[in-house]
Amino acid sequence: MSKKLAIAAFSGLGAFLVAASSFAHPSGANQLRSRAQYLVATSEDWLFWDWHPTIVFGILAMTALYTLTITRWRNALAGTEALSKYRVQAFYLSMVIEWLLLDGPMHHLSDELLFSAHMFQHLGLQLAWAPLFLWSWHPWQLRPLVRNKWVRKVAYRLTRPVTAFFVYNGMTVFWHIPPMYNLALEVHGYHIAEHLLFMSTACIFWWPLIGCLKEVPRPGYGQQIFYVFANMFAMKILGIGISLQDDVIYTYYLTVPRVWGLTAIADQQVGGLLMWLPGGLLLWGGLGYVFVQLAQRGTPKRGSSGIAEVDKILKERKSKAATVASVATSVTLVTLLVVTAGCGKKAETPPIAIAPASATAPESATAPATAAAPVRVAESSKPQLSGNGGGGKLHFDLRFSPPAPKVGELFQVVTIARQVTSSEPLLGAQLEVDATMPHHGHGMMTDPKHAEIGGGAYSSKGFKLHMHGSWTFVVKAKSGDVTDELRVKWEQPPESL
Amino acid sequence: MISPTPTHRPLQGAHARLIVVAIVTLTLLVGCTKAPDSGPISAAEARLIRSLCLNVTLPPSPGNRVADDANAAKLGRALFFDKRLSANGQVACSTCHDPAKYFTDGRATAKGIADTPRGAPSIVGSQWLPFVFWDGRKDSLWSQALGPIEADVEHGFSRVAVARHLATHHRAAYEALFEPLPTASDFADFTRFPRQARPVDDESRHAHNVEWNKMSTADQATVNTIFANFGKVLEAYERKLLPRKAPFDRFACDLQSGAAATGHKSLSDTAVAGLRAFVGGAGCVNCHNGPLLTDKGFHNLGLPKKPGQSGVDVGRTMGAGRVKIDPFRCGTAFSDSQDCEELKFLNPRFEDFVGAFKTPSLRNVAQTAPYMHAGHLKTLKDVVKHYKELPGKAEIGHRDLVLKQVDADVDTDALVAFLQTLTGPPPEEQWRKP
Repeated sequence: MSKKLAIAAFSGLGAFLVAASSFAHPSGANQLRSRAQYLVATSEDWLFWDWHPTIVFGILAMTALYTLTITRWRNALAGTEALSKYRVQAFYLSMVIEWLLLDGPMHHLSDELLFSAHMFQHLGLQLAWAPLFLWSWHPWQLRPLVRNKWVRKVAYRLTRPVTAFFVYNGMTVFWHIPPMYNLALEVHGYHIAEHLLFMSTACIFWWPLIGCLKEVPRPGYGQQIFYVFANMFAMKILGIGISLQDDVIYTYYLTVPRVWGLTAIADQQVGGLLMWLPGGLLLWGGLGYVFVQLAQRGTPKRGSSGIAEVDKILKERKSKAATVASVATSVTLVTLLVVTAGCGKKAETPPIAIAPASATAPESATAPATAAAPVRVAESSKPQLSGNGGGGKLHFDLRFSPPAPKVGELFQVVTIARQVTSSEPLLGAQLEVDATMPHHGHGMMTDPKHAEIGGGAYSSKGFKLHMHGSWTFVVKAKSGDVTDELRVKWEQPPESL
Repeated sequence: MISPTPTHRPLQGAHARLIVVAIVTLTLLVGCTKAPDSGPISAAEARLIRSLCLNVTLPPSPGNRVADDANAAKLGRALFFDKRLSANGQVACSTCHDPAKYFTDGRATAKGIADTPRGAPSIVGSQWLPFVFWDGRKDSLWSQALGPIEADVEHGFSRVAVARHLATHHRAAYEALFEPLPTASDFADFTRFPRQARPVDDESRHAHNVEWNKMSTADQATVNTIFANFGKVLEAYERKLLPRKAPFDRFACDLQSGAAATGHKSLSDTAVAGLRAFVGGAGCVNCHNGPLLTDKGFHNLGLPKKPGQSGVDVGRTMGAGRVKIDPFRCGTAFSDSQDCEELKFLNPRFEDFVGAFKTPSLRNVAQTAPYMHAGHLKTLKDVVKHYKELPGKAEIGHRDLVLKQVDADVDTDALVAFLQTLTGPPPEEQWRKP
């Protein structure tokens, strides 16, 4: 494997990342505000390419480390042991995959908008990135790590099939408990911790199948087969459990704009299905791989590393695969460079969402009416907020009066509620509207008063948003047995009274 | 590929240097993107900064029909500086609201007749606040003025004495604005109008309360009305104590998106950096927003108990409860307004009011040390340090969740430099002396 290829790959990766960095969103916006800019999103804003210093730095550091071990330090570490072109390419590919999964549109989609995208990201990290990454390290690169007796012992213990099973699946289940899942979305520090834990436990998970150190040996093929089956079941059970829920359990996603017309419940079901099916399929692949080895070589001697067998199987198709892999990697890098060139500018546009100047129409809605005669609420003005409740039963339109309230200004909200299926206005309901800033953990300092106006219209007086930023309006309506709730974001601009 | 490679030379000079340079450069670039606020000012930042510009008109005070009357203001000015409106003849409003110090007193806690538990806020800029006092227990400036007059540790005075004072020294000016006062001989009758008398709700055996209960209902009503009017002329005066444009406003009011980070005439580079941190990474603007740099709300900063402080200061929860039953609030017979939206929708049970205190305006903040409701922090540097460390726990309730620790690498000196640019000229000279 030539030094030149290593240098070229590393420099190419670095250059690509540097180019992408020039389109980073404005530095100096604090994390909350930059998140607030995302959360303003029309659903098209997910095309924005993120660029997180921690992620890029991590990838660059890992890349630098690996490159150093195969170039400068190779002599000291490897001695006469082989350097595999495939492993090296696998490594750089894994770094690109990691970057695509963690930064880029996937970042925004999974962090902010879609549960299913978030599932896709996690599955990508655990079932695509992790095996590639793990396999890319030669035994001689890892050997320095396990020179220490205690490290070796811990590594050995952790990677025994039963332990690895519980560590990996335990970690996954833990982070899928709704309060933990929501917490990770709300507090970014937890999210970073979650990803790091997923990535490391995924490596632990894959070790019994593709680990390469004889000091930390893989179990026999029989055990490996059982191991894969068991993990498949665990993943399927979790996926089934999520996709068959009646209600949204990851309530964070109720507060975000809808993308591609997916309701929160449908999005959750897709996410669960992703875990159930493709997750299972990938593991079937792992199973197949183990079977092939078993068929080719039989049970290896206890404690052997199995590298020779693995490489021999791949060698049969190597020349074509090698070329394809190299070309694909280079093409991907160039394409991504070109694509990201156009996508960064979104960051500069300030948050949207000032109501249209069309006006005082809601004032007319406050005229009281008898239940029989519907009030002609001026619906010609565009509502400031609107959406279907999470249960899909009711549609809500909210109009503010004044239409563009300033920070610290008292204003009224007039909500019109209709049934989704029949478009009938909702009459005689108990309807309440509230506004909070979930990221700040507070609501309003006022206590609005609600009253039915008639014709499906309800007035809520006494709203006051005491700061700019991302507020979440929550509308709850109950009429007879029809109950629904809408959570929708409102970006309050900074101008105040 | 797998054939054992013979020992090869380690990376030679040029290649090694290339890799090292690449790593170092990329690391530095990563570091650069973490550096706060060094590029040109973005559209969002400019918009936020412009929203802080002092381009405001005095809001109406509908509860006070003489709020904008020039003669009422002059009468109010005379009363503001009058030390005779106190039990010991030494305390005027100006004692704790000293015009030479932007209408505060430079002390950690105010001292009238005795020490009080909280500091005296500056009056400059208070005209925009829907609730006044650190705990917001009054909903107008005129009803606020009535509080310290009757507080034992402040003026130690009472409403009957105020009425007598007005009748004795300012009869003509008062009667030009309001109904006629009781006559001199009425006030000479100390059985009808005691020397000192006022209702004291939480201490029925207080001498002033005992005297008050001896008065007839009609006389009590008369005195209450006069007392309310007294507050109203004081408010008319206080409405002249307006904030004026500071060097910050010369920078901020016309700020355009894309402006450079440095080289401005009205603000030093350090102050601009501090301003950008203020509206950006440090998050100060979350509460200190708008032209007066206050959200006019109440927050619990988790300030520790002061040494020697007895009891716990519950803050806004108490204040919100009290303002809702205040005898001089909006909507009562004494107020000239029945439209009381702020009061109507105030939620005294809002959880985060516990231990919360008013967000003060930051206009002229460099001149109004020490800081916080009981002067906990002596200098602006201490304040920034507090926000960086957020030490300890709240003495009651919990620290407001909107507060995140300000990053350690935010430049304290820059923030302080910016805060100093908020000092404008004091209110007009004619209103700064009797």
